[in-house]
Amino acid sequence: MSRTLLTANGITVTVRDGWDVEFSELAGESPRSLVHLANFSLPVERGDYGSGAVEIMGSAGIFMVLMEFDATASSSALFSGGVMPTSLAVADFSGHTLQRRIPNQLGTQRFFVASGRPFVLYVVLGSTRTAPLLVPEVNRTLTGVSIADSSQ
Amino acid sequence: MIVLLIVAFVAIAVLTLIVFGLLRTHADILRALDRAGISLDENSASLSAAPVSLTQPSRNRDAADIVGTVPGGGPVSVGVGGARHTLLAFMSSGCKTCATFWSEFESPALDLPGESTRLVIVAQDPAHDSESRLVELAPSGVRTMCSSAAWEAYDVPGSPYFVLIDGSTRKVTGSGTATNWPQVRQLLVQAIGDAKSGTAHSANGVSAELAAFGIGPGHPSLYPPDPAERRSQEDNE
Repeated sequence: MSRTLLTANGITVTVRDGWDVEFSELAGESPRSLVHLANFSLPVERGDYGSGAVEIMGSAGIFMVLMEFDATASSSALFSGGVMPTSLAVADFSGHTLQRRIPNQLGTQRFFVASGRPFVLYVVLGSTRTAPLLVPEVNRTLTGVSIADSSQ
Repeated sequence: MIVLLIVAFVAIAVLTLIVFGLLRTHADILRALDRAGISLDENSASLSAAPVSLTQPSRNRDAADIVGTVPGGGPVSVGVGGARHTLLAFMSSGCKTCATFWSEFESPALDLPGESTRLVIVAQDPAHDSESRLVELAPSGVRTMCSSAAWEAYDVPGSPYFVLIDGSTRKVTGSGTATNWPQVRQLLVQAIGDAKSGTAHSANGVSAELAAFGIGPGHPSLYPPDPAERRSQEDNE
């Protein structure tokens, strides 16, 4: 079975069946990448951290954000030393991490540097009850993400 | 004199070939524009108001996720699975028949048939359509993307063309073309109805087959015996 890859600015995502993925660029002095991934229909109009999308996701929904920060941030304490996670656990998720608090939803946020580029990974799960089933799906999706130099 | 005649003859022959070549290229361009649904006739809008066709040529074929780019944006992938319908509207920026759909899809009161139906407008890649025009035409809140690969995958003959997908089965429920939204909507309602009755027919068919063997509601063969009861029957045998 052939795999579908989406690539832009050095970021490559292996698209999973039935998932919505969208790449965009954030305005700024230098272009920064923003990638949204979801196992449900992403609304066209939504915020960088998923406002407009997380409200409509069901209990089995997964919403993921990969947001690039300005290159100067890579040496900051927040990002340095962090690597892109690929094996998150249910315990890594909490309702307190959500950018937009919605009952029963869980979130996690990880800051890291990949190929010298600082990123934040933000993940929202549809419900506490389904989290044990959804977290392995998140990890499977993350293993299909690779980040190279933006010139590639 | 003879040399001059020969040169003139050769020149006429070459010019004739060039003219034929140009005419052929012109015909190819006209045919390509026609295939893309673009008419050069300013008065053709009234002509194209007549229904084109309402067909279901690709019903029950497998549906594939759509991969392409957002006009003026980055790469995008749209999943067509799940407990919902997806309506793919294959459109062009320059096709006159499409103009009515571009404005129709702007309406927040657009009534889409099916289960939580999601509308996805699919144009050709920027190499084959005007990306800047697509940015202008894209209705707010409606996923609009460029994907010539999707046109190929769904055997789109020209624009406008519509494909309805049932996400629960990942199959094409119906497809076809028309000149206005009420016609398309009617096609889709009919296709959904046909798909449902097809399922009902299958179920009825199974019942009819069982009835032909004397198996009807309440027949013991439809209810496996209790394991304890089965053991006692085996012991008695």
